Amino acid sequence: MNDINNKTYPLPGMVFREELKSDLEFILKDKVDRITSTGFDLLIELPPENLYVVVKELKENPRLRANIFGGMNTCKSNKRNFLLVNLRSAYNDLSVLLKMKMQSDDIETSYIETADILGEFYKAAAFYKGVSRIAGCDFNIEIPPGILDGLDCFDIDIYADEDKVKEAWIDTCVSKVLDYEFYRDMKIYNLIAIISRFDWKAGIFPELCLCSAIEELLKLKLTRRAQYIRMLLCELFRISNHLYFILNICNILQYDIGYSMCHLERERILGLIETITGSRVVPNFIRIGGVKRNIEEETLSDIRKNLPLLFENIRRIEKIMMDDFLIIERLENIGIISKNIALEYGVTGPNLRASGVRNDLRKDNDFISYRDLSFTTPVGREGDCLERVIIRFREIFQSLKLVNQIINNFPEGDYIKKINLPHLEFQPGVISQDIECPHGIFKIYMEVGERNIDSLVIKGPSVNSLIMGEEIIKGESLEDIDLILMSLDISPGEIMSAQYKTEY
Amino acid sequence: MSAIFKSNLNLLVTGYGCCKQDIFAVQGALYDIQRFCINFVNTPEDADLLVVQGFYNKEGIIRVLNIYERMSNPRGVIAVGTCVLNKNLFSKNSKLLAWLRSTVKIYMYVPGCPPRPEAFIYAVLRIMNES
Amino acid sequence: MLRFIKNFFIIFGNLFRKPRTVVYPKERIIIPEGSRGVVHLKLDPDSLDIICNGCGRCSEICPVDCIEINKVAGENNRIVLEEFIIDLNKCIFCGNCVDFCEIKAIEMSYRYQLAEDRRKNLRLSKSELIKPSGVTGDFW
Repeated sequence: MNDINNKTYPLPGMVFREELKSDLEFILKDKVDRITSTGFDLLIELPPENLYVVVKELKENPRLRANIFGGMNTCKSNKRNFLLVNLRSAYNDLSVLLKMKMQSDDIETSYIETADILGEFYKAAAFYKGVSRIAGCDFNIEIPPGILDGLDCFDIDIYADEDKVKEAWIDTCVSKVLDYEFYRDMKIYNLIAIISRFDWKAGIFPELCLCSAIEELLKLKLTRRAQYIRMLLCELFRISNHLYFILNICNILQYDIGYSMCHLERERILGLIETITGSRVVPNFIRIGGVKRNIEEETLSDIRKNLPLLFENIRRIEKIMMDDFLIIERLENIGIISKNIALEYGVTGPNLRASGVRNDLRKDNDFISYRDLSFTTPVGREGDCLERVIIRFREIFQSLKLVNQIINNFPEGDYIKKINLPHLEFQPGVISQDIECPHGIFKIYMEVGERNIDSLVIKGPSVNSLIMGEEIIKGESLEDIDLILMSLDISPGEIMSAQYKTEY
Repeated sequence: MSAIFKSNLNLLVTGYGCCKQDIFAVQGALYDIQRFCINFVNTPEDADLLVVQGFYNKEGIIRVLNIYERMSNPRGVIAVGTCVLNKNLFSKNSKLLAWLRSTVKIYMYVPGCPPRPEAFIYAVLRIMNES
Repeated sequence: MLRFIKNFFIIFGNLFRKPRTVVYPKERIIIPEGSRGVVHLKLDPDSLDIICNGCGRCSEICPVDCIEINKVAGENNRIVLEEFIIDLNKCIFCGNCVDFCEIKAIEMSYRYQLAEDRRKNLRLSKSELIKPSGVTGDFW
């Protein structure tokens, strides 16, 4: 037992690393409270044979109680191959990463074996298993061309009784386009330039996640002006993403007034974003230690001029939509997510808040410096499609309030710290970083060598929403399926970073 | 191209990728592409021009070529974005461009990652004016 | 009743309002300052020479390798830029080349109307990159 204890050491920065056989609680006895209070992730390295024992301990121990299945990713390179499983606890904010080393040849087969073991404890892990298609299934809906952004990255098999769905099976074979090692031989400034394609509905969040992870490793502290510029961009992108969500809903309902009004307001926001960053969709604006360029006084007054217009127009859109009883009738009481199902499948963000759980990283952790500003987190009750639309409207108004506060007390100072970017050297280590993006919690796990990134795992929140979509469309009628799946706000860029079962 | 294209043009967008939101932004009230009688349709039989954009793997290429076969003559292809014009950003060996150039006729190449909506309108209008 | 009168005035006011639609080919959409378009080679205002000395830093750091640079030894052993080709088929308009240029010889222009029917027409050489940013040829 003594030498096990010697291997337990906290690393610089973010992660506590453990290597153990069993008896988790004995080692973690005093540390659990400390780990959960700091908000770090617990990384456990274990051989694949011990997986069953460790997961059973994590699930059933009354002090740990990891009941949420976050996700499962593979990382494959010429140096190291491993599987990464993320488990979380709804009771005490514990977040655990299980890392299992594998041989490079059998990583696909061991992937399925691991999913089998996890499937005994967690319902959501069944998606990762190599299940064959539904027996006797005739309806196979392939992706039709010309469909909306967000529903175009998966096929769906449906077994229906008259017009009620009985079984559904989602296949993501079209969306697997990523190489295992796209980041090899790539400098960090080039990785920042292309990483925003992982979430193209709100492009700043992957960059922000990567840069703040590296800053955490270098122990850099930002200036106040850089922090405020980052927060301003976060809120602008959040408004743009939610408007895009509402216009897609309007497009499915064939509601043309809302569609074109949302487009006009979104163009206004994108114009503001382009004035600041230089591009409409892919900003490439966050740098390590600050941001790329300063915000002039003219830009701030431009934003100040546009804010009341935006507020007035979005209010009007909300009023028009919510006064129309046809829209209410169509959206109400379909696609209901209860609180337990949402927690079980690991859904985060507005979808979770719509079903009544108060969870917001901006409030809970000290994310950038949201502590200075006053805002509320809107929480719904029912968890149906209508609630998810209303939550987006309320979040837009909160974001407008935040932008107003940020502009009015914009601090002076430098916008970047001068560091030698091309010759960057850091201490080797392991980092995992969470941020709150408009769809949920965006997570990056990486292992860093002296000069470059050895392994990088990107996990978006839309994966969990998609897995839950398989569950909640059961029992709904056929014409509501696209509406329900659209109301989950799936961002296809996050789907392509996860590796799933494939059949060809 | 035929003279029919001068009066009416039906577009069909395939694939998934970042260019899709900027292509559909053209339908909004600020740009309003329906002034030129250009419509977006959902079935390949109705479409005149196929807009190819975004990320494709082996399965995706087969589906695009199937959709192109179902379209009726006269027909053509617009290629939008760097992922189609050169190669997929995240994958080193993607063969979409080689497949497309060997089998179909590409009328217009639109560079950019993603291109602005004006660039897309410019490309479509150039096809209408040259025919 | 009050609501009807209110709505009537809103609709009546809309008759005289300018529409938000930009009639695109006739009037241009205003592109904000600092927007990233095609790379433009700067000229020295006095001698009208190209500032770029062909050090090749931008082609090294480009994430997709879209810049090709040829340089020759000129008189007095000075290195002179011979050809500067940018391949728009590969370019992702990230702007890293502008950031890393030490003598500030290139900038991003506002040129956005880009569409060609041949793939090789999108390889822009030095003589086309010198031109001031504007509209690439009218077709009406």
